[in-house]
Amino acid sequence: MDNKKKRKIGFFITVIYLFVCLSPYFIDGLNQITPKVFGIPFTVWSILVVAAGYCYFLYYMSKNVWYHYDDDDNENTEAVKK
Amino acid sequence: MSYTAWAIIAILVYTAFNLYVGLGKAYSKDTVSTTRGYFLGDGTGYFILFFTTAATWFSTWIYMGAPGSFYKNGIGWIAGLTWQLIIMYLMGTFGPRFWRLSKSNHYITPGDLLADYYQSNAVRHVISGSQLIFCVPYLMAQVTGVGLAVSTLTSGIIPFWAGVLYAAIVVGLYVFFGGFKSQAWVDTMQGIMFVLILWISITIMMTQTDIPGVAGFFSQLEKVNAKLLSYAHAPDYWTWKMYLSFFFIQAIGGYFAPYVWQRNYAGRNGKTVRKISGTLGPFYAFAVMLPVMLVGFGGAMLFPEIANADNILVATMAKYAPIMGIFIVLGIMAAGMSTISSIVVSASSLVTIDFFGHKAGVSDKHLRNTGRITILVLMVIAIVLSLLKVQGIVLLVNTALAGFCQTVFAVLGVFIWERATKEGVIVGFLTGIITTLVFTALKINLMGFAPGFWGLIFNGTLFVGVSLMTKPVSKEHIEKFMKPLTSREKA
Repeated sequence: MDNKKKRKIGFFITVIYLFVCLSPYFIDGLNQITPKVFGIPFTVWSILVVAAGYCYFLYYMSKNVWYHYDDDDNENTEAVKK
Repeated sequence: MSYTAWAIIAILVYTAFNLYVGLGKAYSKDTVSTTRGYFLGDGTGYFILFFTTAATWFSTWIYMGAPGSFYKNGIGWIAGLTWQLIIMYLMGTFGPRFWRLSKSNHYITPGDLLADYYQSNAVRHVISGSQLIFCVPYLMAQVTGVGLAVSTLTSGIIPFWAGVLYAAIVVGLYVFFGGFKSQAWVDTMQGIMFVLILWISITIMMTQTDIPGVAGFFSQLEKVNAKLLSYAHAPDYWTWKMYLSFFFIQAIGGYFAPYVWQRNYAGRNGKTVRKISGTLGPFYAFAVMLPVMLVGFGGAMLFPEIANADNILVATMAKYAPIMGIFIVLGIMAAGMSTISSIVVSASSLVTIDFFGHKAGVSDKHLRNTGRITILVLMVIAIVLSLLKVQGIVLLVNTALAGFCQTVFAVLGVFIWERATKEGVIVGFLTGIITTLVFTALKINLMGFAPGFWGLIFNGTLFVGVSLMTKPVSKEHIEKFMKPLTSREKA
């Protein structure tokens, strides 16, 4: 898959992230205290898991998709080839 | 020794350390000898860039406003954590490009890049002028916050006016001489400090519950006010529409604020900026906003009926760990001063470069000196505004990020939509700013969405509409402008 396509997918993941963040307002099942994990209510731990997942996505994008545009462009060339 | 004496000693030690780092360790005569070096440093490495970006972005708000918002609005205000990550998405998407273009074309301000692309000094003046209008009141708000913190910490022995002078003079000293580099180093020290203090505070709060630990904390919160754990806690104000509005305003405004934008220019290389975008998100979300949320919830548990929720952290420490109160106020000072220093350097660069710098025949040394004088002038303005408590200026403080986010369409025109024109940018941008200010002043949340959100909608509509009716930037110019990027992408 080329990098342009990956960046497009990255954009859609960001849009999905926004909808997931807002979903407890619309889906009652996501706006409840149970099930708890280590005593932490569902509304709290679920959004932290979503945020952690998005953090991983950002890390992945920075490692594999976004260009750096440095003069030493070996890495860019490889990213384009991928 | 009394509490106040300890507090004054703590302020003196903190001040000495700031000046030691800013004027000693970080100061470089060679770096500040050029305009670019003065405003952007000499190629900031990962560690310093990481913390200066974080310390710049997080102001006194994380100690005062943000915990109070969780206290009042409940878990729905987790938006304050989730939108932080979008700032990093924007940085990954645009940051390395900003860095490359700045490096190749010697840009110092956001206006440099936009004016070059749109071939229009009108674009430069409109956008830079508006950014300045929002920067100065925000600067005043932070100076006021630090002044209040100093006065509170010393039980009024150091009055508010002296606290204001203290903030302006201390920051002014290391920024005047050392410019961006000194400021970034001090930011780093302050950033580490205010995050550590935040975590120590929440640890103390958690030990005050009946059953210590995370489970006990939430179990007690559930007994005291279970509604805080529900997304429908504040249906009159904090609805999904407000969540969505703030998600856009804060994230986009947070990235396109000039003092954050310029940190992309300041990176040592593109890899550094890109690495920041991949790693700063967890820090924003989990090292800063997570304890802020816990402080808000902890406050709701320990003080269910407090009159001013914004003071929840100070009130908690005053009751349960008075000596920690000294560190909380130092944390507020660190968070405030790190933002003051960044804004003043950035605002000075906007005045110097965008309003004097592009004129022919101005020497580099003259520009650097103009930058220094502007810093002094801005500090005097901040002091005067803080002491006079000018009515109406709160409107500009409250709408600062909504104002900064209006720049987004101008940037999309550069990188995404080639049909964009300078006329579209100017008309859309001004409409967005005016809409935001008028709706905020009249307290209009049309259809439940925040004023800044409507500013974006009107801005975007006119940006597209006017652009389609006017002459776009020529293909040849776009090709030339993008060459530093395209030549490397295709290498």
